Amino acid sequence: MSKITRVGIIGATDHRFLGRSVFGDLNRESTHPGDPLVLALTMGATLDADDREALRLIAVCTTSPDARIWPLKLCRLLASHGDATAGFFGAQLVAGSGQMGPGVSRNCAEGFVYIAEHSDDDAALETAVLAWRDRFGGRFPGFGVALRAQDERLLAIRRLVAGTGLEGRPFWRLQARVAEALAKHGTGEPNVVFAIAALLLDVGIPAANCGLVASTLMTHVYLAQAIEAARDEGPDLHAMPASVVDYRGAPPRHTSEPVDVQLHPALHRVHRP
Amino acid sequence: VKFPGLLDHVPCASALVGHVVSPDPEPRLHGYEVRGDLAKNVSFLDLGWLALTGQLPTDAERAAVGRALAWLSPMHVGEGPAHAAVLTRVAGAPDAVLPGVVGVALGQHTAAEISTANQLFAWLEGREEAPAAWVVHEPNAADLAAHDDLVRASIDWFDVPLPARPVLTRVAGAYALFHRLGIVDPVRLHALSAWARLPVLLAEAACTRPGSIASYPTRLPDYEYVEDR
Repeated sequence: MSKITRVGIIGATDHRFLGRSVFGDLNRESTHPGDPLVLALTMGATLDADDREALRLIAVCTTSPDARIWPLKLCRLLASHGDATAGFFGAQLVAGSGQMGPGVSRNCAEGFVYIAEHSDDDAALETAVLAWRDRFGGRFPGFGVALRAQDERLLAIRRLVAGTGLEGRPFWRLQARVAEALAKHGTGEPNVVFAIAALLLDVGIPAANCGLVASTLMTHVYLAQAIEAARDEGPDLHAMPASVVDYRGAPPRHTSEPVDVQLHPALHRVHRP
Repeated sequence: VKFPGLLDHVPCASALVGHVVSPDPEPRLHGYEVRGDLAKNVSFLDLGWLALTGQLPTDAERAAVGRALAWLSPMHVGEGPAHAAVLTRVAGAPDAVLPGVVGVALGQHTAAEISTANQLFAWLEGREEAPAAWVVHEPNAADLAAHDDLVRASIDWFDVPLPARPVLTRVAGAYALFHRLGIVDPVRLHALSAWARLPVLLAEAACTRPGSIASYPTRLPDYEYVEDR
């Protein structure tokens, strides 16, 4: 049973990775520790200076390292028994969320691709934008800003893109038009995912991979939290006191006395035999 | 272009080795047909015990493992694995990764328990003191009643019953039963912990709406950011 892979192979004196010899080509091309990771993110594509700047901007501007942010608190919780690896990798499983966080970049990017294919003029673009928005329950992926009026990360990326070679790229220009179209319909504010999706598509990342690539570019935030939590967190996170638990489940009852109780709707069955 | 690899000519096994479930069209678990036999003739508790030990339980073993799993099962939302289950939902994680994240949290929690359980096992074998963290130092009436009931039941279950004192915590009582049942290795202790607790943890997750950040206590615990100058 033999299958084809284009990722790589271990050789006797050198290895191959995504079309390159490791100790020769990859060694020569890599001027930064993150370069092999970027090579993997793009599955071996050759990047120009603007492409690398786009990835750099995403990595820098998505550095949102507050320990209280939910996936990062999860990271600390998982690492709190002293295992940073469990926290680092375990918490990042949530990154595939299509609802919030970097994983939404996929749905957003797929929307941009769809809109690009259905936007011969402004009216067609608006129709396509609204169709994609409605496909996601009335909220375009990448729209919605929690806790503040505007997403400072998006504003920062827009500011840093202005006047560079990234500004004229097709999906960057498209995201601005999409944002305008959505603004007319009062659907809230775009968040950083909007910029990430456009930048990644312009680099040539397939839309289906944009969530994973965006998540990977943010791993440094998880890494630092995991390292600190493995060192510093402990019993107070393992078992919080009952006094901070607002229990809303069934009241005390006994198996000897069947009684009906109000249960959370998520526990209801579609029918009872 | 095809590149030769170091592993192309390394001698290696040619088959996956299995020991628990046969790959037959009608799968068997440790030799027992599942649909035609186990599903009709034994409880799911028996089936789980069979999976982990290769033998169907005796009446005493069934009673003891059922008691141990029940004692181990509850974890409230303030405890790490249940908190992780809720946080995973709050963070909007895909359903498909929820058991995995909860499994990581539970694995970490159980690993910490097992390190204490090893002390407990040594005590049960007369080699060490009972671990202080797993002893109820000032037991209330419920603690005493539950522990004494467990000790009494263990007289019927095992040749060597559980010691009458000290009074053990709920979790310690469960691990003491696992020891008396002959299971002290980490992998199967992890399996028993997961078996007991995963339904409870995933039920807590099910009651949490995905992305419900507004109702989650983000600042519990709170963190202050400082920089060293």
